[in-house]
Amino acid sequence: MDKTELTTEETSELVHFLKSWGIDEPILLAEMTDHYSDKALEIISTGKSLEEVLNSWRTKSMYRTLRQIDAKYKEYAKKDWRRRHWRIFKELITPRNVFIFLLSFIAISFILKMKYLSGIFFGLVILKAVGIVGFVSYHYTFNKLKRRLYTPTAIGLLWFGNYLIISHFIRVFEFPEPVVSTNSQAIAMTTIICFIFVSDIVFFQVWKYITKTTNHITKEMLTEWEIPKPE
Amino acid sequence: MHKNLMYICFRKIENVSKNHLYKGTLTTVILQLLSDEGRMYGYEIAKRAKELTKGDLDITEGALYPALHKLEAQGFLDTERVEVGNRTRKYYKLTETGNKEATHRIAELTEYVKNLQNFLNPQLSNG
Repeated sequence: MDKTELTTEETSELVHFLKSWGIDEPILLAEMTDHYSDKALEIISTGKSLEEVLNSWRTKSMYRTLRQIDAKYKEYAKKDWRRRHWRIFKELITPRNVFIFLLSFIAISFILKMKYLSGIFFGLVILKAVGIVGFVSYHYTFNKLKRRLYTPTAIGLLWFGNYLIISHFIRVFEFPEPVVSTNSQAIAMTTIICFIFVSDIVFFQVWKYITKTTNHITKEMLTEWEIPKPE
Repeated sequence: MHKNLMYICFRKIENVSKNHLYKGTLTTVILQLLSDEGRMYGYEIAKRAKELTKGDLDITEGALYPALHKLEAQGFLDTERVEVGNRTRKYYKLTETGNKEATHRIAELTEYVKNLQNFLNPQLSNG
Protein backbone atom coordinates (compact mmCIF):
# COMPACT_ATOMS: atom_id res chain seq x y z
CA MET A 1 0.00 0.00 0.00
CA ASP A 2 1.28 3.46 -0.93
CA LYS A 3 2.32 5.77 1.85
CA THR A 4 0.00 8.76 1.97
CA GLU A 5 1.63 10.90 4.63
CA LEU A 6 5.09 11.51 6.03
CA THR A 7 5.57 10.95 9.75
CA THR A 8 6.29 13.91 12.04
CA GLU A 9 9.97 12.90 12.18
CA GLU A 10 10.16 12.67 8.39
CA THR A 11 8.42 16.03 8.01
CA SER A 12 10.84 17.49 10.51
CA GLU A 13 13.75 16.07 8.50
CA LEU A 14 12.34 17.64 5.34
CA VAL A 15 11.88 20.99 7.11
CA HIS A 16 15.50 20.89 8.28
CA PHE A 17 16.58 20.09 4.74
CA LEU A 18 14.68 23.10 3.38
CA LYS A 19 15.94 25.36 6.14
CA SER A 20 19.51 24.28 5.49
CA TRP A 21 19.06 25.44 1.89
CA GLY A 22 17.97 28.87 3.03
CA ILE A 23 14.17 28.77 3.23
CA ASP A 24 13.52 30.67 6.44
CA GLU A 25 10.23 32.54 5.96
CA PRO A 26 7.57 30.57 7.94
CA ILE A 27 4.85 30.86 5.29
CA LEU A 28 7.16 29.91 2.44
CA LEU A 29 8.67 27.13 4.54
CA ALA A 30 5.19 25.69 5.14
CA GLU A 31 4.35 25.87 1.44
CA MET A 32 7.62 24.28 0.35
CA THR A 33 7.27 21.57 3.00
CA ASP A 34 3.84 20.70 1.64
CA HIS A 35 5.10 20.67 -1.94
CA TYR A 36 8.20 18.59 -1.29
CA SER A 37 6.28 16.23 1.00
CA ASP A 38 3.98 15.40 -1.92
CA LYS A 39 6.95 15.09 -4.25
CA ALA A 40 8.84 12.90 -1.78
CA LEU A 41 5.78 10.66 -1.26
CA GLU A 42 5.56 10.16 -5.01
CA ILE A 43 9.20 9.03 -5.16
CA ILE A 44 8.89 6.95 -1.98
CA SER A 45 6.04 5.03 -3.62
CA THR A 46 8.58 3.77 -6.20
CA GLY A 47 10.47 2.04 -3.38
CA LYS A 48 12.98 4.64 -2.24
CA SER A 49 13.50 5.85 1.32
CA LEU A 50 13.15 9.50 2.39
CA GLU A 51 16.89 9.58 3.06
CA GLU A 52 17.59 8.58 -0.54
CA VAL A 53 15.10 11.16 -1.80
CA LEU A 54 16.71 13.94 0.22
CA ASN A 55 20.18 12.87 -0.89
CA SER A 56 19.08 13.00 -4.51
CA TRP A 57 17.91 16.56 -3.88
CA ARG A 58 21.24 17.71 -2.49
CA THR A 59 22.34 19.20 -5.78
CA LYS A 60 23.46 22.61 -7.01
CA SER A 61 20.40 22.86 -9.20
CA MET A 62 18.07 22.25 -6.25
CA TYR A 63 19.98 24.83 -4.22
CA ARG A 64 19.62 27.41 -7.00
CA THR A 65 15.90 26.64 -7.37
CA LEU A 66 15.21 27.11 -3.67
CA ARG A 67 17.32 30.26 -3.46
CA GLN A 68 15.45 31.65 -6.43
CA ILE A 69 12.05 30.86 -4.90
CA ASP A 70 13.14 32.41 -1.59
CA ALA A 71 14.53 35.57 -3.21
CA LYS A 72 11.45 36.08 -5.37
CA TYR A 73 9.14 35.39 -2.42
CA LYS A 74 10.84 38.10 -0.36
CA GLU A 75 10.71 40.52 -3.28
CA TYR A 76 6.99 39.95 -3.86
CA ALA A 77 6.22 39.94 -0.13
CA LYS A 78 7.60 43.49 0.03
CA LYS A 79 5.46 44.55 -2.92
CA ASP A 80 2.44 42.85 -1.40
CA TRP A 81 3.06 44.65 1.90
CA ARG A 82 3.21 48.04 0.12
CA ARG A 83 0.12 47.22 -1.94
CA ARG A 84 -1.90 46.27 1.13
CA HIS A 85 -0.86 49.41 3.01
CA TRP A 86 -1.71 51.61 0.08
CA ARG A 87 -5.12 49.90 -0.15
CA ILE A 88 -5.78 50.45 3.56
CA PHE A 89 -4.71 54.07 3.23
CA LYS A 90 -7.08 54.53 0.28
CA GLU A 91 -9.88 52.82 2.22
CA LEU A 92 -9.31 55.06 5.24
CA ILE A 93 -9.23 58.36 3.42
CA THR A 94 -12.91 58.42 2.56
CA PRO A 95 -15.15 61.51 2.77
CA ARG A 96 -16.92 59.88 5.73
CA ASN A 97 -13.71 59.33 7.70
CA VAL A 98 -12.46 62.84 6.95
CA PHE A 99 -15.79 64.24 8.13
CA ILE A 100 -15.65 62.22 11.37
CA PHE A 101 -12.10 63.36 11.94
CA LEU A 102 -13.03 67.01 11.51
CA LEU A 103 -16.04 66.63 13.80
CA SER A 104 -13.98 65.00 16.53
CA PHE A 105 -11.35 67.69 16.08
CA ILE A 106 -13.91 70.42 16.69
CA ALA A 107 -15.55 68.53 19.56
CA ILE A 108 -12.26 67.92 21.37
CA SER A 109 -11.28 71.56 20.84
CA PHE A 110 -14.34 72.63 22.80
CA ILE A 111 -14.00 69.95 25.44
CA LEU A 112 -10.36 70.77 26.12
CA LYS A 113 -11.33 74.22 27.29
CA MET A 114 -13.29 72.63 30.14
CA LYS A 115 -11.05 71.68 33.04
CA TYR A 116 -12.80 68.52 34.19
CA LEU A 117 -13.38 66.79 30.90
CA SER A 118 -9.88 67.40 29.55
CA GLY A 119 -8.57 65.11 32.28
CA ILE A 120 -10.61 62.28 30.76
CA PHE A 121 -8.72 62.61 27.50
CA PHE A 122 -5.39 62.38 29.23
CA GLY A 123 -6.71 59.31 30.98
CA LEU A 124 -7.74 57.85 27.64
CA VAL A 125 -4.29 58.45 26.18
CA ILE A 126 -2.71 56.63 29.12
CA LEU A 127 -5.24 53.78 28.89
CA LYS A 128 -4.62 53.48 25.19
CA ALA A 129 -0.86 53.36 25.73
CA VAL A 130 -1.24 50.66 28.37
CA GLY A 131 -3.70 48.82 26.12
CA ILE A 132 -1.36 48.79 23.15
CA VAL A 133 1.59 47.62 25.20
CA GLY A 134 -0.57 44.94 26.88
CA PHE A 135 -1.93 43.74 23.55
CA VAL A 136 1.49 43.57 21.98
CA SER A 137 3.07 41.88 25.03
CA TYR A 138 0.25 39.29 25.14
CA HIS A 139 0.81 38.28 21.52
CA TYR A 140 4.53 38.42 21.91
CA THR A 141 4.32 35.96 24.79
CA PHE A 142 1.72 33.54 23.43
CA ASN A 143 1.98 33.66 19.66
CA LYS A 144 5.33 32.46 18.48
CA LEU A 145 4.63 33.24 14.87
CA LYS A 146 4.46 36.94 15.47
CA ARG A 147 7.70 37.12 17.37
CA ARG A 148 9.48 38.40 14.35
CA LEU A 149 6.96 41.25 14.14
CA TYR A 150 6.65 41.94 17.86
CA THR A 151 10.30 42.40 18.52
CA PRO A 152 11.45 43.79 21.88
CA THR A 153 12.60 46.90 20.00
CA ALA A 154 9.12 47.41 18.54
CA ILE A 155 7.47 47.04 21.95
CA GLY A 156 10.05 49.30 23.54
CA LEU A 157 9.60 52.00 20.92
CA LEU A 158 5.82 51.80 21.22
CA TRP A 159 5.92 52.28 24.96
CA PHE A 160 8.62 54.93 24.79
CA GLY A 161 6.67 56.86 22.15
CA ASN A 162 3.53 56.90 24.27
CA TYR A 163 5.48 57.71 27.39
CA LEU A 164 7.07 60.72 25.69
CA ILE A 165 3.71 62.04 24.56
CA ILE A 166 2.12 61.60 27.99
CA SER A 167 5.06 63.07 29.88
CA HIS A 168 5.17 65.96 27.44
CA PHE A 169 1.48 66.69 28.06
CA ILE A 170 1.94 66.49 31.80
CA ARG A 171 4.87 68.91 31.70
CA VAL A 172 3.39 71.43 29.25
CA PHE A 173 -0.24 71.39 30.37
CA GLU A 174 0.41 70.77 34.07
CA PHE A 175 -1.68 67.63 34.34
CA PRO A 176 -4.00 67.00 36.24
CA GLU A 177 -4.85 70.72 36.14
CA PRO A 178 -4.57 71.42 32.46
CA VAL A 179 -4.05 74.96 31.45
CA VAL A 180 -5.32 75.47 27.96
CA SER A 181 -5.57 79.20 28.02
CA THR A 182 -5.16 80.18 24.40
CA ASN A 183 -6.84 78.96 21.24
CA SER A 184 -3.53 78.06 19.62
CA GLN A 185 -2.66 75.83 22.60
CA ALA A 186 -6.03 74.11 22.37
CA ILE A 187 -5.67 73.57 18.62
CA ALA A 188 -2.12 72.27 18.97
CA MET A 189 -3.14 69.88 21.71
CA THR A 190 -6.22 68.70 19.84
CA THR A 191 -4.16 68.06 16.74
CA ILE A 192 -1.72 65.95 18.69
CA ILE A 193 -4.46 63.95 20.43
CA CYS A 194 -6.36 63.40 17.17
CA PHE A 195 -3.14 62.38 15.52
CA ILE A 196 -2.48 59.82 18.27
CA PHE A 197 -5.98 58.36 18.00
CA VAL A 198 -5.95 58.22 14.23
CA SER A 199 -2.47 56.74 14.11
CA ASP A 200 -3.55 54.03 16.53
CA ILE A 201 -6.65 53.23 14.49
CA VAL A 202 -4.47 52.98 11.40
CA PHE A 203 -1.99 50.89 13.33
CA PHE A 204 -4.66 48.40 14.40
CA GLN A 205 -6.29 48.30 10.95
CA VAL A 206 -2.94 47.59 9.34
CA TRP A 207 -2.10 45.06 12.00
CA LYS A 208 -5.41 43.25 11.55
CA TYR A 209 -4.99 43.17 7.82
CA ILE A 210 -1.43 41.88 7.88
CA THR A 211 -2.07 39.20 10.48
CA LYS A 212 -5.28 38.05 8.77
CA THR A 213 -3.33 35.92 6.30
CA THR A 214 -0.91 34.50 8.83
CA ASN A 215 -3.35 33.58 11.59
CA HIS A 216 -4.05 30.15 10.13
CA ILE A 217 -0.49 28.98 10.57
CA THR A 218 -0.68 26.80 13.63
CA LYS A 219 1.66 26.70 16.54
CA GLU A 220 2.67 23.16 15.64
CA MET A 221 4.33 24.42 12.53
CA LEU A 222 6.84 26.39 14.52
CA THR A 223 7.00 24.25 17.61
CA GLU A 224 6.70 20.59 16.63
CA TRP A 225 8.52 21.10 13.39
CA GLU A 226 11.42 22.67 15.12
CA ILE A 227 12.32 19.54 17.03
CA PRO A 228 16.03 18.66 16.88
CA LYS A 229 17.24 17.13 13.65
CA PRO A 230 17.04 13.33 13.78
CA GLU A 231 20.37 11.51 13.88
CA MET B 1 22.68 0.89 -21.81
CA HIS B 2 24.08 3.47 -24.20
CA LYS B 3 20.82 3.45 -26.15
CA ASN B 4 18.81 3.90 -22.99
CA LEU B 5 20.94 6.83 -21.96
CA MET B 6 20.54 8.41 -25.37
CA TYR B 7 16.78 7.90 -25.18
CA ILE B 8 16.63 9.58 -21.75
CA CYS B 9 18.75 12.48 -23.03
CA PHE B 10 16.53 12.94 -26.09
CA ARG B 11 13.39 12.78 -23.96
CA LYS B 12 14.89 15.42 -21.66
CA ILE B 13 15.81 17.69 -24.59
CA GLU B 14 12.39 17.14 -26.14
CA ASN B 15 10.75 18.07 -22.84
CA VAL B 16 12.88 21.19 -22.42
CA SER B 17 12.09 22.37 -25.94
CA LYS B 18 8.37 21.70 -25.47
CA ASN B 19 8.42 23.54 -22.15
CA HIS B 20 10.13 26.39 -23.95
CA LEU B 21 7.07 26.79 -26.17
CA TYR B 22 4.89 27.29 -23.11
CA LYS B 23 7.18 30.01 -21.80
CA GLY B 24 5.29 33.26 -21.38
CA THR B 25 1.97 31.51 -20.94
CA LEU B 26 2.59 30.21 -17.42
CA THR B 27 0.55 32.86 -15.62
CA THR B 28 -2.32 32.41 -18.06
CA VAL B 29 -2.17 28.65 -17.53
CA ILE B 30 -2.31 29.17 -13.76
CA LEU B 31 -5.17 31.65 -14.00
CA GLN B 32 -7.11 29.33 -16.34
CA LEU B 33 -6.64 26.33 -14.02
CA LEU B 34 -7.77 28.33 -11.00
CA SER B 35 -10.69 29.70 -12.94
CA ASP B 36 -11.76 26.12 -13.75
CA GLU B 37 -11.03 24.42 -10.45
CA GLY B 38 -11.83 27.15 -7.93
CA ARG B 39 -8.97 26.67 -5.49
CA MET B 40 -5.75 24.74 -5.90
CA TYR B 41 -2.36 24.37 -4.21
CA GLY B 42 1.03 24.56 -5.92
CA TYR B 43 1.72 20.88 -6.37
CA GLU B 44 -1.82 20.30 -7.60
CA ILE B 45 -1.45 23.03 -10.24
CA ALA B 46 1.80 21.52 -11.56
CA LYS B 47 0.29 18.03 -11.60
CA ARG B 48 -2.92 19.13 -13.33
CA ALA B 49 -0.99 21.10 -15.98
CA LYS B 50 1.12 18.01 -16.68
CA GLU B 51 -1.98 15.81 -16.91
CA LEU B 52 -3.81 18.16 -19.27
CA THR B 53 -0.83 18.48 -21.61
CA LYS B 54 -0.07 14.74 -21.42
CA GLY B 55 3.28 15.41 -19.79
CA ASP B 56 4.41 18.17 -22.14
CA LEU B 57 4.17 21.00 -19.66
CA ASP B 58 6.37 20.23 -16.72
CA ILE B 59 6.16 23.28 -14.47
CA THR B 60 9.19 23.41 -12.21
CA GLU B 61 9.04 24.76 -8.66
CA GLY B 62 11.44 27.52 -9.65
CA ALA B 63 8.90 28.83 -12.16
CA LEU B 64 5.62 27.94 -10.45
CA TYR B 65 6.05 29.47 -7.02
CA PRO B 66 7.53 32.83 -8.08
CA ALA B 67 4.63 33.08 -10.57
CA LEU B 68 2.06 32.30 -7.86
CA HIS B 69 3.64 34.73 -5.41
CA LYS B 70 3.77 37.43 -8.06
CA LEU B 71 0.08 36.96 -8.89
CA GLU B 72 -0.70 37.08 -5.18
CA ALA B 73 1.31 40.31 -4.76
CA GLN B 74 -0.52 41.82 -7.72
CA GLY B 75 -3.80 41.07 -5.99
CA PHE B 76 -5.02 38.52 -8.51
CA LEU B 77 -4.88 35.62 -6.07
CA ASP B 78 -6.13 35.14 -2.56
CA THR B 79 -4.75 32.46 -0.26
CA GLU B 80 -6.23 30.11 2.27
CA ARG B 81 -4.40 27.76 4.60
CA VAL B 82 -5.67 24.33 5.51
CA GLU B 83 -4.18 21.78 7.87
CA VAL B 84 -3.49 18.52 6.04
CA GLY B 85 -1.98 15.82 8.23
CA ASN B 86 1.07 17.33 9.88
CA ARG B 87 1.56 20.11 7.37
CA THR B 88 -0.09 23.32 6.28
CA ARG B 89 -1.38 23.54 2.73
CA LYS B 90 -1.66 26.90 1.01
CA TYR B 91 -4.55 27.09 -1.42
CA TYR B 92 -4.78 29.75 -4.10
CA LYS B 93 -7.99 31.13 -5.54
CA LEU B 94 -8.84 33.98 -7.87
CA THR B 95 -9.90 37.32 -6.47
CA GLU B 96 -12.45 39.48 -8.25
CA THR B 97 -9.64 41.32 -10.05
CA GLY B 98 -8.01 37.97 -10.73
CA ASN B 99 -11.17 36.73 -12.43
CA LYS B 100 -11.20 39.74 -14.73
CA GLU B 101 -7.50 39.33 -15.43
CA ALA B 102 -7.99 35.62 -16.20
CA THR B 103 -10.78 36.38 -18.69
CA HIS B 104 -8.64 39.06 -20.31
CA ARG B 105 -5.51 36.92 -20.55
CA ILE B 106 -7.36 33.85 -21.81
CA ALA B 107 -9.01 35.93 -24.54
CA GLU B 108 -5.62 37.35 -25.43
CA LEU B 109 -4.02 33.90 -25.63
CA THR B 110 -6.91 32.47 -27.64
CA GLU B 111 -6.48 35.30 -30.13
CA TYR B 112 -2.75 34.60 -30.26
CA VAL B 113 -3.27 30.88 -30.88
CA LYS B 114 -5.83 31.70 -33.58
CA ASN B 115 -3.39 34.02 -35.30
CA LEU B 116 -0.64 31.45 -35.03
CA GLN B 117 -2.96 28.87 -36.56
CA ASN B 118 -3.68 31.23 -39.48
CA PHE B 119 0.01 31.71 -39.93
CA LEU B 120 0.97 28.04 -39.76
CA ASN B 121 -1.94 26.61 -41.68
CA PRO B 122 -3.72 29.25 -43.76
CA GLN B 123 -5.71 26.65 -45.68
CA LEU B 124 -7.22 25.19 -42.54
CA SER B 125 -8.22 28.61 -41.27
CA ASN B 126 -9.70 29.59 -44.64
CA GLY B 127 -11.62 26.34 -44.90
